[in-house]
Amino acid sequence: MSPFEWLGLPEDADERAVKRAYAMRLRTTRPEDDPQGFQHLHAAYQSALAVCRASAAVPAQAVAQASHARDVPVAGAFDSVRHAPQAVPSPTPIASPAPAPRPAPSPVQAATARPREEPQPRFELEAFCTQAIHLAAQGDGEALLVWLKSQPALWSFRLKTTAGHELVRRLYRDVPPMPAACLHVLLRFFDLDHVHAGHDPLALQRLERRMRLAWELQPAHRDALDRRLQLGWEPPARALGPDWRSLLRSSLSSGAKPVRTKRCLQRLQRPFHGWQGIAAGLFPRRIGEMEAFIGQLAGAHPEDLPPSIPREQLRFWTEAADTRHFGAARLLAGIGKLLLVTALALPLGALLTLGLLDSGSATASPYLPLLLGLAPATAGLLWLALHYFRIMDNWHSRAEPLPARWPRLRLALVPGLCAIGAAGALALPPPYLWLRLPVLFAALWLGLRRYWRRHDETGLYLNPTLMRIGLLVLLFTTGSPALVMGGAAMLAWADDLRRHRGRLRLDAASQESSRPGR
Amino acid sequence: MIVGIDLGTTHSLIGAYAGQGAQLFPNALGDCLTPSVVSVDEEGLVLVGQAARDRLISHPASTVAAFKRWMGTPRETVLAGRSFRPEELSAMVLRSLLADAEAALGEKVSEAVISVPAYFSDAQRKATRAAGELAGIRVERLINEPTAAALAYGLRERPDGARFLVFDLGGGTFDVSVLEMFDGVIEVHASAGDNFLGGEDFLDALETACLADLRLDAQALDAQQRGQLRRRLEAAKRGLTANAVASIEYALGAQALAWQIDEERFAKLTEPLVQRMRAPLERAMRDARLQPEQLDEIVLVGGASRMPQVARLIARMFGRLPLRHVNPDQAIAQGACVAAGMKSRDQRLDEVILTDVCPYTLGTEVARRDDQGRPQRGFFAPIIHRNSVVPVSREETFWPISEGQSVLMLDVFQGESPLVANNIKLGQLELTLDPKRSIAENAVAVRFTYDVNGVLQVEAAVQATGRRYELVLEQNPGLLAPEEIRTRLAALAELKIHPREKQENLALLARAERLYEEHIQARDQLQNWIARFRSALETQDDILIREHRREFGQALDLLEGT
Repeated sequence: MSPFEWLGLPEDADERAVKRAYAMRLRTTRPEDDPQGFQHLHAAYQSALAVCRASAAVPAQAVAQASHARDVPVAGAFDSVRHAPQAVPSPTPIASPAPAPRPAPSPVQAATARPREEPQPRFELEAFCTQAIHLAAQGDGEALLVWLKSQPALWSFRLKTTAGHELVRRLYRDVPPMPAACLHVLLRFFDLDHVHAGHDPLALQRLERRMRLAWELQPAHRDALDRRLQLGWEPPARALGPDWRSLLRSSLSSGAKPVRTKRCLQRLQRPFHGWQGIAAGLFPRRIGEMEAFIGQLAGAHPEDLPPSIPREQLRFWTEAADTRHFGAARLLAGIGKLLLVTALALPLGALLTLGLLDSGSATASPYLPLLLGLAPATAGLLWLALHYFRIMDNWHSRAEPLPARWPRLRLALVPGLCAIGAAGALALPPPYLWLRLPVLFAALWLGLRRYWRRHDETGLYLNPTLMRIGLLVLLFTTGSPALVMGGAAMLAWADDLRRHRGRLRLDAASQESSRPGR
Repeated sequence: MIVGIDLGTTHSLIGAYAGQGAQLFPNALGDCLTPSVVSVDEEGLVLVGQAARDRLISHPASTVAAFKRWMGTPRETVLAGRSFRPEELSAMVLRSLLADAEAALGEKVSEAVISVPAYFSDAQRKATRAAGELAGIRVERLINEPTAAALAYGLRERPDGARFLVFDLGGGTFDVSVLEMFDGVIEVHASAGDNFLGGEDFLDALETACLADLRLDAQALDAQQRGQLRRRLEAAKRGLTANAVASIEYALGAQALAWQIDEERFAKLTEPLVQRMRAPLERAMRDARLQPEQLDEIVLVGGASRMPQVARLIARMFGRLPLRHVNPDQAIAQGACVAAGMKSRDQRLDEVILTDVCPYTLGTEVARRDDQGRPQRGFFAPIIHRNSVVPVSREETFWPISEGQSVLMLDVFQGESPLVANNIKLGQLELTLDPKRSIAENAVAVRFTYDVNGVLQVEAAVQATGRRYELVLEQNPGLLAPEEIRTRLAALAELKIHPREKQENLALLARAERLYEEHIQARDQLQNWIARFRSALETQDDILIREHRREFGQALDLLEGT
């Protein structure tokens, strides 16, 4: 039903007629007596008015386009929301900031047509924005506000709206360095810090972060940065993503020992070289320090640091500190660590051998230094294996809704390992039977971890320490540790499967991926 | 009979829609404006109005003013050993106003329409209703002050097809409304305001400057001395409306001080306050989607709008001079009377229909995924947008953020900031979801309904299960619970207010006591006069008292005039 039918009018009724009809119908549909009816009536009235205004604006718009269009009201973005039924395209012309708009025309002229072309003292929009950004970069919010308030041209409603939008557009385009306080002063003055201003708060937060970081990393504002870092790290917008653990860690460590801003910053601003990664491994504490520093500096958003920080450098330090993933950065640091250990172990072994030979001990073997040199290499291999095991463990025991690669392999891993163990019991000759134990132990570990990590919220809570102690006791009291381990792993796996059987069906049905933004 | 009440920060008025249209009732002293001041005297009796205002000088410890600013907060004021909440203080003003109305009407009044600033929050509106209940009346409707002023203006001028802006600068609050009137419909397009900006702030600015000039420390002055200073500055502020220069003379102990201020300096001192009025004006105009030249009139109401800075502000922003032919002190009360007449279905107001708006945005908290897919909490999702015409009912659909979520918390907020941390939390609703269902199936439809009286109702329905929830707004610390209102009502009923017929004598005595504090050289004489008047009162001879009162009043006039 068209809004005009609601009001009992022909489709070509004018604004005056719409208002009269609305007033007539309002007498029988008073807002306090008939809220439902009134809402329908008012919606119809608003839509009809919008249609009338749009059709009335068409001739005027033609004139406006002949000159040049400008000046979009701030409510524009919000109009379509307000008039939910039958949204009509807003009749306002699109903003084109290039020609500086003139202040409001006299009422008479606006009433007839709206050419708005009389000569007025020109307001230099470009110059104004440049000056405002320049003042904001000084960092003094108070002075900025005083300056803004003293701008006579901004007393005009229309001009102030245009200037505000142009300024924000330039901020997004250039990302000038600016402290957060100054951005807030600008937004507040132009009344752009509310829900209806049409700015995405996420984008605005990101803009604020980027401008603030760029400002703080300017050499002149080092003291502001120092002050903020000493006050401690503050979460920008309560993040609850998977990164909370590292955030928490960095916030805790920042409270304990303030990191040396200058040193860390220098390290971060150098261009990155491969040997530097190995060098970082030689000083293991450096990685933790840098992680804490980046956490303090940029919180959960290191990507918002200004381009003056080399990205490779940033990526190296964040990856090196992230124990849940294994990449080139960790490998480099690991190599560095190994080199250090080897370099220490080799002369130590040589000295020891020499000492033993000197004392004339018969048991001294000439292979000792070689063995001592091989030990770090073995340790390195074990370390690598452990890391990959941890990554596998993490992948295997991920909570169900989180995406994981190779879901079928994930499901079959524990039974597969148990099967290998069982096959070993049959195929291996008795002296090598112990070889199946590590495999079964891995199956047990993975199965229990999966069970525990996926149920800590909904199901029964198992204390991991108690669980491990119980397991060890069980192993040593019963005669067949292999059987116990395999059985326990399969039990845990089966129970986990039973609990998630609903999900299994769902996954099979479709890789349903509708994930609304809210 | 429904009465209309303007419960102001500095002054209050009462009236009704009767024989000759909106009619205001005078108080016992013959004045329509009753100061919103409450005082408790030595016998534990309550004084309201001019007498209490004079006691602000002579008995500052047992007198309180401007408590409307604390409405909706749990702040308590101690007067003569008993603590009062702002609702109770307002209730006492209401009681005194009702006594005046009953004396004028000759019948019991039990219902009222009370005006509140358009930008009053939910808590402040509820507190005003509670004040009405504590005064023993039913509050039929709360009407926004600028809307009330527009009603009074619109009915008198009948500006058909006109759009106008009401600029309401009262003692403590600032409101702007943009309205349109056509065919008997008064339609509010937008309202905006500042709840902590009013004439009192201008007085504060003046006081700060004066104390700095005279090298006085505000902490070193006692309450009595400050009260005296403020009273004189208030007179100077009023003087600056008409004259270019105003001066005060002030005796501090034996020290005689004099201070002078001209209009220019006053304008400079209050520049920050004037700047604060720009934002609400701009916002109201923008929300109404109007340009200054599309407005037909600008109507100034509220006593503080008489200041020259206000006219200058309007001239700068709108390029025209404001309209002044409404009585800024009485317009709101008259509008409240008209609203009361509409409420009681007066035949003459049958043609008039008023539609108002909800001045602030109401919505809920949502989490959003940022560009890296991480969920971020704390964003405000509006459901009822500000300046929607009331009554309004809107529905929005929300989804749980993660798979397998079993609980969804629905927080209800009021405010304009895109981050809920800067908004006011009104309540919370906890919904149970089925964790086995997918995100899309667990959609929740949330409906907000805001009625004519500003009462918000929140409903939520989980679409998969069809379970419905309704929000009972939690009692936040600024509000009184219904049972507490009942106990406080009983306690307040025990408190005696001086009978109306004694008001005139009391006001005269209070005035004499104030003059006693202010005029050191005439103290002996005043003491003598007060004693004589008291002894006359004790005779209980009406004729003698009236005669004495007349002479006493003339003598005080003479003293104050010199």
